[in-house]
Amino acid sequence: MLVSWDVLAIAVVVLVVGCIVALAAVVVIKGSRHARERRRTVHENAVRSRIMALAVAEDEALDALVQELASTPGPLGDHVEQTLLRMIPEVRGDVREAMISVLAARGLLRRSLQRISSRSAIQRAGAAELLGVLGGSEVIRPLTAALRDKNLEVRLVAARALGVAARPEAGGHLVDALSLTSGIPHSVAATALLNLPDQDPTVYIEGLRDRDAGIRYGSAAVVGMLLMSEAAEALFECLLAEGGRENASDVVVAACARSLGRLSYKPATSELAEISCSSSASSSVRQAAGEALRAMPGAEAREVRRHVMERADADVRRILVDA
Amino acid sequence: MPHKILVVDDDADIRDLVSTKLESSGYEVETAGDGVAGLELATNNGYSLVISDVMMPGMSGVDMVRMMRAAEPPVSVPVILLTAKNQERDIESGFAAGITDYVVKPFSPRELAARVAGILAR
Repeated sequence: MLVSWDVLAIAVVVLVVGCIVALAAVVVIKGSRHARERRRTVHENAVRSRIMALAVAEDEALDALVQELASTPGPLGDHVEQTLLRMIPEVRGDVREAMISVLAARGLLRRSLQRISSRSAIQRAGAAELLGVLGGSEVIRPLTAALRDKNLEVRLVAARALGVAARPEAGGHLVDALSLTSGIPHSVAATALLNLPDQDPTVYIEGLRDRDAGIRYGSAAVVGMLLMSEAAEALFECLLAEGGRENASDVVVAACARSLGRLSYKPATSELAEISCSSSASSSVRQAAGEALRAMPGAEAREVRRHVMERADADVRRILVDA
Repeated sequence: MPHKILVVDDDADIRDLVSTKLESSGYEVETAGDGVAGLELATNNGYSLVISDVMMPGMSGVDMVRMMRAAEPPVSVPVILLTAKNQERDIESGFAAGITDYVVKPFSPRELAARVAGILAR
């Protein structure tokens, strides 16, 4: 029994000492973690203020700042990249260019160009997104190649990225991506097309004559949204020719009609009137033709609308009643 | 006395970028992270101009302007709205609420500063 008391006392002492040591260890670990986080915050704030300074720096000071941020090593360097990637889509002009210069100087463009050929689809999609943000002529070829990637997610990200990169030479590739076989939703490719500057109308004129109904549909819709009057005649031809096609599509006719209305293409007025009253056309096509007629300006179009009101069904009359 | 400008944006990056640019142009800048805080500051401090994002948690930039104008007495400080591309409705409702001008994102800080200078020179 006496031995038992001794053992118990020793055990209690050991336990107490153990607890004190454990407590001290926790305090030391937490303290060092806090100190590390404080140091990191201080460093990150310092880097952040240098990034913000890109907005005001000029000429030589700007070059020095770009170099400084480009050579920031380790986790702080990652912080520079993440902050810039967040900010670039929000800004334009010389600040955006300076930010992209920092990322390019850090090797992000080179790394992304390598990663877009990676075996991992996640890596390829990530690289495509970065290339879109970085922009410039050198990203167009790898991104257009990624539009044909075996993985749909990569193709989708590449289409979006081409819209972000906003280079006119991507137009033809994005029109091809409207194809029914690409798997890329029309809205994604069309939205990217709407972002491109200085577009070439011939790309859309060819698209309106394409064998693929998806390309014809997307081209027709985008031409209207861009108010691309150079393609209006081809749009009308596409509308007239669609009925005779092997793979004729109501959505193509409807998109052509709506875009002709947006473009106020007067030569199409009589044909649109016929379609809006045609019993052989689907309801959606008749309504699209009615919407286009409503948008047509001038006294002649007003007279045509008056005749259509006498012949068309209730849905079309409802569209035209306010015109 | 430098002009005092309030920048309201829930995105800290944009807030800091705009502040840095305006401070470098010689303005005194204060910031708020949402419409509610922005309204509070705008109502109680004498700012020469307010720059506000549209989409913010709690209260949108447009609602903030509407409440500034409806306050008693009304806060009639000029307001520039920072709006995303293709948000024509925000611009329309912004002007109806009483904004002075708008800048579309992605925006150029240099252009924003020029617009600020133009409005403050009126």
